[in-house]
Amino acid sequence: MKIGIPRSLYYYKHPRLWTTFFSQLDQEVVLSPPTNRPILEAAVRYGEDESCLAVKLVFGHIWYLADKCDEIFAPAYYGLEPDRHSCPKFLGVPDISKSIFGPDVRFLRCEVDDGMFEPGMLELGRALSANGRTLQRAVSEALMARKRYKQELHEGYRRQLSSEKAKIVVVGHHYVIHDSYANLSLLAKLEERGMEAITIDSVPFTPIESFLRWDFAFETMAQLEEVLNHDIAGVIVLSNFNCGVDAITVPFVEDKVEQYDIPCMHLILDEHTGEAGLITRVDTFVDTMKMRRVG
Amino acid sequence: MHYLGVDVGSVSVKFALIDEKKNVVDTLYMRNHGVIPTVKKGLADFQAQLSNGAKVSGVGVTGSGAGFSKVLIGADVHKTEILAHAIGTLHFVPKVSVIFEIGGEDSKVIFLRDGIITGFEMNRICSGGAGAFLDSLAGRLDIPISEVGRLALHRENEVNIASRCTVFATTDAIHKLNTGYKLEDVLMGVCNGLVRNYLAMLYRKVSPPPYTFQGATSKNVALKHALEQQLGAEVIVPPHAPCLGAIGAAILALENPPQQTQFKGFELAKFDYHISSFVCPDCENHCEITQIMQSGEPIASNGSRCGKLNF
Repeated sequence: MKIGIPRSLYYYKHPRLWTTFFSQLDQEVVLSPPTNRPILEAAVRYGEDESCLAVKLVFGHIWYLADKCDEIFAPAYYGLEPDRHSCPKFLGVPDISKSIFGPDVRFLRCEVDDGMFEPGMLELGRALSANGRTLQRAVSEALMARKRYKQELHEGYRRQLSSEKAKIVVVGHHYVIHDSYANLSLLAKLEERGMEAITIDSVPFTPIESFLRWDFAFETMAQLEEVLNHDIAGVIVLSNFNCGVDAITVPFVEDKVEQYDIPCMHLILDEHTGEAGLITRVDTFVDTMKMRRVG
Repeated sequence: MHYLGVDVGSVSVKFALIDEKKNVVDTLYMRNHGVIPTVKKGLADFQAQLSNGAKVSGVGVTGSGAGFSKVLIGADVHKTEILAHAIGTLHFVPKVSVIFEIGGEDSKVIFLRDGIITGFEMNRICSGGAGAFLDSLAGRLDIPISEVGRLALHRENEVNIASRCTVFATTDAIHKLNTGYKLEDVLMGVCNGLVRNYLAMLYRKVSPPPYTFQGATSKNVALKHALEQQLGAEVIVPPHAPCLGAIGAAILALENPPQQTQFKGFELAKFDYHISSFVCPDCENHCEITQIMQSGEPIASNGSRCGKLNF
């Protein structure tokens, strides 16, 4: 069977988890390409208008996959740790997808709560009539692939720390900072300007106590605790317009960064964000950092 | 030796000429009626205005239209409007701690400490709290934009105008006029609302004065009054306030002098420029590529997401 995986939301958190799982079950995986113009246009057409761009983009990617596979994988994430929560809009993705695309598009549903992937995987495996041993192996290979990906991110992070260039930490949801079409290639723009762009998802956690219950908020604060103790020239926070989780998180991030006396800039993106405005902000931020270093 | 600064904004284009000691020789402010004719005419007018002539050793450009104008004029230095404004302001008010600048389509707040930019805010998704809104409202009410501030200070009653969105603000202003409020009252209400919306960017972190207020909107005495009232502090309108970005760009050119300037001269009229655009067919992104043609040859190209057609 051909299983479509939208390259959006949680795909960016653990790109190899679900692709490995389905491949191990001898399913053909069809991954949608990185966001491009037709996908963005479909996202705006199909997405409900109160969502942030990232949630709209899921529907763009599903639109792309609709006639290219038998079923589309649509997981609902509740939270990645006990007593923590993902964005509530993620819960709705499978049901909203069903209502948008109607009965002709079939979805493989799966639920992830408290960061437990096994229960959902076992259920999916049974639905795909996988035998017990193959299924067990698929689960452990998938979880291993996820772990290895994380290790690679951390290794990359350590390499970046030893770089001679000025280091900028880019804070944001993984699906915002790694979707280069939607974020107007922010990471590449920073690199073109001679900066070492460290994405927050590559930073290991320092254990912290926090009352923040959103996965993203909690993880980001734990990662800032680690990365801000290095020689960091600036922090750029990248948000999607309308993101409720960021509305809670960003003031805490800004406050934390301010305590270290590091310049911090908050960029908000939407589907109509002009590149000129983004470049003005990035250039000014880079100039500001240079002025501080020289001054 | 002189240095030329050009600030190409969305509503206006500003020119400034400084000498090697950073003294301002002259400035020129023009409405932007399309970047190619405005820059051409501006340079010609500016040259006519400079009675003693100018020997230009370097050119700096800034503003939202700077990337484009850089090739048009032959500029040596291109910096963002925030940096240019900060540099221009520091020249006149070295101790400035916060710069308030309300432009046509964007508004900014720049924070400084000991002459170094420590942070900035720009209006984000919407340009609502910016000068072009006042301009269009004044046009609709058939009063010259230069009169708005003076009229507004003659208000008799306090009028509250919804300020979050200029579409609603316009509706609200027209409604208030139709319920019998005086024009002066409504104009002051609009200025107050615009400043309220503008200052909403600053949810925290305001250091003590000195503050400056600039951009062409700083000529509007009612806006200055509203800003001072809402900040509870005096704001300085520096000399050449509408042209500080251009002055800053000129200073940046002076401080980063080119070996040999790229400046094409004040007589740009002799060059034939036009714009051509096409859709790149190479992938599904179908980027719209814009090129500046000089005598039939592309001298600059923009709009390609993958970057291969940008130069």
